[in-house]
Amino acid sequence: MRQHAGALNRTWLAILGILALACGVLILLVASGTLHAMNPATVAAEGPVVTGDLHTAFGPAYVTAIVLVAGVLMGALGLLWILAQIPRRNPADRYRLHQDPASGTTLCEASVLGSAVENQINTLPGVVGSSALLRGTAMEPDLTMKVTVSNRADIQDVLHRINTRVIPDLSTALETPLQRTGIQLEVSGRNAISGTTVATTGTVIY
Amino acid sequence: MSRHDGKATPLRHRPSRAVPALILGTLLLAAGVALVWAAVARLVTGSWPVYLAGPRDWLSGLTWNDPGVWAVGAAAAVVGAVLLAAALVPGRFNALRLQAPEDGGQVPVAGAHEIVMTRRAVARYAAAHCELVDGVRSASATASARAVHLNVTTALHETGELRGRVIAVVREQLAGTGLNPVPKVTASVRSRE
Repeated sequence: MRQHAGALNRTWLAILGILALACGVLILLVASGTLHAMNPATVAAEGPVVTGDLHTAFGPAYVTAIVLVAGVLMGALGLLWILAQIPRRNPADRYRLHQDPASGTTLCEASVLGSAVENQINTLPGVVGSSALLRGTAMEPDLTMKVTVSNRADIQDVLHRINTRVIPDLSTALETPLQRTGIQLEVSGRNAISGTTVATTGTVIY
Repeated sequence: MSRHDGKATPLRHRPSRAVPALILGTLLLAAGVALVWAAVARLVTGSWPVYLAGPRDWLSGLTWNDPGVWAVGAAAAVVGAVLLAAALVPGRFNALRLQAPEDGGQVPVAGAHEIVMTRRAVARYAAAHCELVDGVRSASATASARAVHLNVTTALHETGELRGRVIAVVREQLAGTGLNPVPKVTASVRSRE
């Protein structure tokens, strides 16, 4: 249900990985003298790493400004990357159901529709709990559901009822077919809200 | 950052690599704070902080074939390879795909209609149905994207027949849920008095 920053993480890990690998290989090539052997114009292995005087290089005031800006940028990027790891529900904005604003506006909170879907799913036999989330727009709605069923439930029956009752009802209410739907099934040891089977024990007397 | 578009994403996905991302994010943040600290100290006191003097002196007297440079180069190459592996190794899916009931008629969905069951859910479902088999004392299960493994304890001495029965029951139940493809079921049965 919740969305993670998978693509963002993969992209930045690959970029930083390539950079670090390239730097490491370059340093090793220079240190071993291979780069100097290939191209005499480059620095020799016996040469100093820093050619100038670091004390004078860091003297001017503009260097302080550069260090400050670089620090702020790195810190901000790091903080944003950390914050992006928080899983997000990313729900829809309010649905605008009106055609012509001049004759009145109709707004509907997507969470209200979500709770209606949840209530309907919770009445199905075998369902322990559910949460529904609407994304997209009123014209192109996306419905994502997490349905927790009891561990003895008939899963195909639950899916059949969702497909033939819950999704068509929401589609009728919004007067448009849903753009995409997702059902994530979870299984719980708890008893279902309706259609509960009761475990009984007894002694057979001959 | 790119997730404020209100669009749905696939429910069945691979790991999001949050741990390496959090480590790198924290390192970036720490480096940023250290740089800002140094710059502010320079602005306030007029000289760079004392902790920068050590690295500065080390860098000034360094030649390229110094063991320290070798170590830095090797460490950077190893870290880069690890990060690339973290980005490129795909990892396991979090959930298994289910087929929609065939007699469901026309579902009013224009695009994709995705039904998934998480690996944990498949494992719990398999374990619960395994425990309903006569002769099973307790059962637990683990599920991957393609296989389910059952750990069964029983009071029976002869475990071979029970093992076959448990696998058959659980496979039938998993096929009945509509899992597509049906995961391979294996079981290890331990006899316990």
